[in-house]
Amino acid sequence: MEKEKRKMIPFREGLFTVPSSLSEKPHLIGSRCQNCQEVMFPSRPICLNCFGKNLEQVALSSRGRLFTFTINHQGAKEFSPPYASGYIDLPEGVRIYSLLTGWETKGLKIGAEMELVIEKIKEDNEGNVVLGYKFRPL
Amino acid sequence: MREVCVIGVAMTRFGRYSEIWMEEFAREACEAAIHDSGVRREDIQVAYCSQSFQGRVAGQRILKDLGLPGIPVINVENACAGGGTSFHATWMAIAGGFYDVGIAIGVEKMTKGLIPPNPEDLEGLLGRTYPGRFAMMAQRHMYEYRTTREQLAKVSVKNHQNGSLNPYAHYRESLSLEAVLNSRMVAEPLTLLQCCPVTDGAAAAVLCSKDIAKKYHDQPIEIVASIVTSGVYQSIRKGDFSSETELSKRAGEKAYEMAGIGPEDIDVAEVHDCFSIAELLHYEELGFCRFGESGKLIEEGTTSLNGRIPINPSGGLLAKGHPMGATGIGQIVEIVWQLRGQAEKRQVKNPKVGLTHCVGGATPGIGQGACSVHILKK
Repeated sequence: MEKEKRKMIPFREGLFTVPSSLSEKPHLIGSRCQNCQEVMFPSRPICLNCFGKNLEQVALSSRGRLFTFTINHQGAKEFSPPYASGYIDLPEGVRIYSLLTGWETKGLKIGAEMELVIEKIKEDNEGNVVLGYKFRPL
Repeated sequence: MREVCVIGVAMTRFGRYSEIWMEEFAREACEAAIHDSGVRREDIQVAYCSQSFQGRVAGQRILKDLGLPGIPVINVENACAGGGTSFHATWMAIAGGFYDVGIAIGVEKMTKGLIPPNPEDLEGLLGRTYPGRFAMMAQRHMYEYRTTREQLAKVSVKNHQNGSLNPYAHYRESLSLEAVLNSRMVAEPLTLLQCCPVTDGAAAAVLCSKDIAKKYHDQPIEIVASIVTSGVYQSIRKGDFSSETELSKRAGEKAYEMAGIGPEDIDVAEVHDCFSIAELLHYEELGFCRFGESGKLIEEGTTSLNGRIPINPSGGLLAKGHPMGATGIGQIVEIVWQLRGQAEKRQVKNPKVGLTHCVGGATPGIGQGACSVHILKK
């Protein structure tokens, strides 16, 4: 019974889709500006590039390339080191900061192809699993 | 627009002041700057005070015991560029003819540990720290330009060497390259001794219009450029610079244009070396070398105290310390001392033109919140 009370909750609403089956892929949710075609993450009401207000929500590619990364040995609050973080360039032309996973076995290399996964990033005070996005090397 | 001079500067030694109220040590810096300037307290007509963590009306709390009743005191927050911003605001108030004499103050009493991100900051919520952010810039610089770990560490060796000669520096020990490289890893490739320490301190500068400067001080230092600017979004789709690089580059270009000079005319500079990689990036952004050549610049000793363009003679943020709101004014203090020939053991050979640069306030989307560049002339 105890276990059923634990919920899976995203760390912030509206950032990503959670797959309902194993065959489905998760996606980050961004915005595409109808005026200048700039794609941004997270989704937003005003374009960062041209300040246009006509934006549509888009599911972003779940694969991209590692622009840069680091292994953190001194953690931010609620994060235990060592953990990896980096910037991923998606084909839409958007650079996303993300936690990285799977690096312990596969290693990290700038330019490497990376794939989006939705994973637990922490537990909250009520024991719920807090989900966030991460990228892992393919 | 009127021309404006710095006529008085002072700072506390940067360090840890956990037992002293910030009002007390900041007041001491103000008193010393006023004394250095030669103005009477009652001649000061306006004050701008920068800080990030000191709560409400910090400037008034500092000045209350100084007998400056009733003057406008304006409190400024602009993260790590706050000091440059309060100095710019004081310059603007005098250049615009609203006041003749003003004081720019910067102060910070920091709490231990990493600076926490703003609650809205998505990257901060996902474990991005400030050292981590700069570590990622370092990894990319190493990848693109073959910059080495040793070149990065040499920035810290140089700045600690300079800091060892500065009685106002938080850390006054010179460090070997091995000591820097072998210190605890914070975020790869940045080791602890390539990260600025947690530091308290205050600095102040008295400014006045040029036409009355000689009345107060026989060595007024002219402000020939004063710039504050903020970050803008850069599209990777168009292959733009990173927002951080674009910001410091644009601030530098605006300052050079305002002063009517170029980077080759700068004799000494204080730049925002919050991490070793940051100083290398600023060499490139401010035009002291071409993009990708900063590793070579530090390697060849060009920016050492006796090099062609000495950078961070004070020890910089890495050795002198980084009390956020005070840093930008601390840089001005050092450059004024250098131009006056008062920098004692760390004196650069006869500089005539100096530059200060501070930048900060990480904000996803626009890179950094603010950047300030000043050019001062003897």
